[in-house]
Amino acid sequence: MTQLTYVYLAYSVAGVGLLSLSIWVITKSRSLIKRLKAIDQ
Amino acid sequence: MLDFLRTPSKIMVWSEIWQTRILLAGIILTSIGLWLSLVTSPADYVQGETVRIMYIHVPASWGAMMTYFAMAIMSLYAFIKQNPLAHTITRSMAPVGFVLSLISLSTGAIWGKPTWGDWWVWDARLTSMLILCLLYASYIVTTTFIKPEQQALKIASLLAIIGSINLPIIKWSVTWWHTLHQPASIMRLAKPALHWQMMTPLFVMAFGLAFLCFYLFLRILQNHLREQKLIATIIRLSS
Repeated sequence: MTQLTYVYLAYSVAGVGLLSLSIWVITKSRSLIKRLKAIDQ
Repeated sequence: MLDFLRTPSKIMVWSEIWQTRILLAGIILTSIGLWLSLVTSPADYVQGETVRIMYIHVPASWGAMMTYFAMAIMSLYAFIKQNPLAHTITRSMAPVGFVLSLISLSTGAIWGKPTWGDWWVWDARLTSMLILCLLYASYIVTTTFIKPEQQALKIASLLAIIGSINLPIIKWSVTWWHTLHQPASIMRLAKPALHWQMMTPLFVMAFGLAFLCFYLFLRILQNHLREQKLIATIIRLSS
């Protein structure tokens, strides 16, 4: 592997980590809002 | 000073007003940081291009340590004052810190391979960082799976407070022991060893990541508060 491959691999891993956390947070948030709305009605 | 810890609704309103601005600041700063880190900053005369991994590895490590420090302080407050909102705030920090510690460990391993010739060595800095990651995992597992919740929060708070002993060990591990990991270049008493051309992208990335993580923390906190509201509503309706 070239030096730049290691660099891009590191940034991709960090990106995947942050993106996974964001997706988990947003999905949970949407589901909770939906359930709260359903209970309010 | 900590009056806001008695009113979840105030935190909810404040976070809903500010979250978009915080996210925007995070996206702008991280974009500039990525441009500076990957394009304009110079390669190192010894490490070559791999030095660019520093601009993500170091901010993630700082973030993981600072988040745990904040968790320990908040846990101590929650434990002494028996404040449920302080427990909720601490719980919301844990997933962010856990991801940051994972990023720190994985980018460190990727940096270690071309620099040291191996992905992992049982070096004092790496091992203490792995312990931090395990502490985060234990906190999350405790607050998620142990019932009743009050008992879980007490155990988790103690874990966060006692686990904070690991923070100075991480910081000074490179001074106390002979390690492969390089000594501190920025957070030290002497003048920083980094040139401004490397220091600028490092700090821009650190602030960018801090804003992004603070945004994620606010969203997790909102989720916990919504969950509590949902449970309270269900109990109220069923009684």
